[in-house]
Amino acid sequence: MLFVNLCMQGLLQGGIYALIAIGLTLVYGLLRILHVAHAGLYTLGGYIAVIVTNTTGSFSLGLMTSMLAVGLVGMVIYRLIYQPILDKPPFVALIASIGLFIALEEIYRIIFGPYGITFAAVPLQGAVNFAGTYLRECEIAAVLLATLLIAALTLFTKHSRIGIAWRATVTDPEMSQSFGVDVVKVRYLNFFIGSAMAAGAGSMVALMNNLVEPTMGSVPSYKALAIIVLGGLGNVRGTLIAALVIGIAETFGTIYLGDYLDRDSIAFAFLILVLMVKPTGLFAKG
Amino acid sequence: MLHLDKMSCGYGNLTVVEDLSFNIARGEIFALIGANGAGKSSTIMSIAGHVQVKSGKILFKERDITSVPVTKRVSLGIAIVPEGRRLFTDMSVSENLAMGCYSLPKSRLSRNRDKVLELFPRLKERINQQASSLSGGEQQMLSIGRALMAEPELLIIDELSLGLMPKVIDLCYQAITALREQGVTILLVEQNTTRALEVAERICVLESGRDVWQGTAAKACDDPELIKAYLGLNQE
Repeated sequence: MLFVNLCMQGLLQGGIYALIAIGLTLVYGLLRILHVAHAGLYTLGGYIAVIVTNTTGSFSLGLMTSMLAVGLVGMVIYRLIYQPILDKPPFVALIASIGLFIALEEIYRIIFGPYGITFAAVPLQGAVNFAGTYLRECEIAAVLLATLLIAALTLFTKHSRIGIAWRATVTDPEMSQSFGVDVVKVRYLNFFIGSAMAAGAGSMVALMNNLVEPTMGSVPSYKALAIIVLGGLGNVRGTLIAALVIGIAETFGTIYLGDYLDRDSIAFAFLILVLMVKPTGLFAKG
Repeated sequence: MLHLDKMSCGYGNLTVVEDLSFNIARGEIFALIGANGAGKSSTIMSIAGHVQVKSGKILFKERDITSVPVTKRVSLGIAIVPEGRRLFTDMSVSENLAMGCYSLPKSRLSRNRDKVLELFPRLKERINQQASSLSGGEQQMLSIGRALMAEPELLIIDELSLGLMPKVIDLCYQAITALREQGVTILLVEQNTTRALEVAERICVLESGRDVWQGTAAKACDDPELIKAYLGLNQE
């Protein structure tokens, strides 16, 4: 029973990590930028979800508003921060991204206060017996949301014209332009989808913890970096698998290695081990 | 169909091609010939819109397209088969073909794909395979097929025979000849001068970014000095 319980918790955690890390790997795949500030958008997603839910009483509305608004903020970040420095060496964008992440945390601290905000009435907290294991409704909702968003993204990139053009642009932007693809629009779309997914994750974590605080994105920011390296930078499928593996490894590690390793260090111990054997990550392309 | 009027192009401050002028008539195969670094690829990439034109004009169907964005040129009827194929390697054959048709209404996809698969039946057998898993010859067929999906009036082909087996080169040149018969105008860049002279009506020889000779392929074959200096053909 403990095994099943740990697997479920691991998949839940992995699903949340996947939602954050997929956005990050999408940006890397298209622009070769490590978008560290992505975790700041995850936090913003949490804030918006809590505020809209507390105002309207509807978490669904809070979640949708959060994903839409943060998606748009992602596009603004691309336009104002990254687009002007695309022709500069990659470390310039990395420094800009780290600076933006720190700035976002401080902005949240100034606007929402240092102690965080909570739901006025926390929705989806009932317990459900699932294969003999009790899960909270919000945890099941988080798994469903992660599954739904990842499936939708897969269908979109495999079966829609824009999705196929998006993948073509990731492989060869110049050639995709030759066939009429507007690369700038693809980049906006990329930031919108990636940021909206991070907001979805932030909203669900806010719901599960009933707390959003300015530094909520700190741990996910470096953990998502570890996941996308493990998954092979720019590889969405690899990132999904790596996120689930890390989620499960952390859950089991907390129980069986908890006396020796902190939960948050497990992802990095795993990353170091993998990189020693396969320096390009588990699912690197080419 | 295509007219280059004293066109100069290059990268940043570097000018690679200077004052190049030529005309290509509708339905013609025109070959650009020259050694490595002569400016052939830069010329065609400037026609496709990827390389900056520094002076002069590019006219296509009597319209000045010098400053038309690269994404709009395919809608005008210009498609490119680039050097090294540059396929979307993570995507299937079918998806690569679909990308070729991106600028056209979705309803044309199926009809155009059928035409391409008729021209290159081998792609039909590989339709769901990833492009990176194809052989060099199949990749070149896919690259040509992808460009044809755009229904081009001008097809620009860079180094058609590079790295291919003679048998596959024959297949590709047969396809080029068939396309000419269908009325497609072809601008061919080729280091394999023998093959280029076999199919082209007219050629332009480039050296260090300047044209040094223009005329019919037949006339080029009768010019021993040209052959000796630029074409590298066996004069037996």
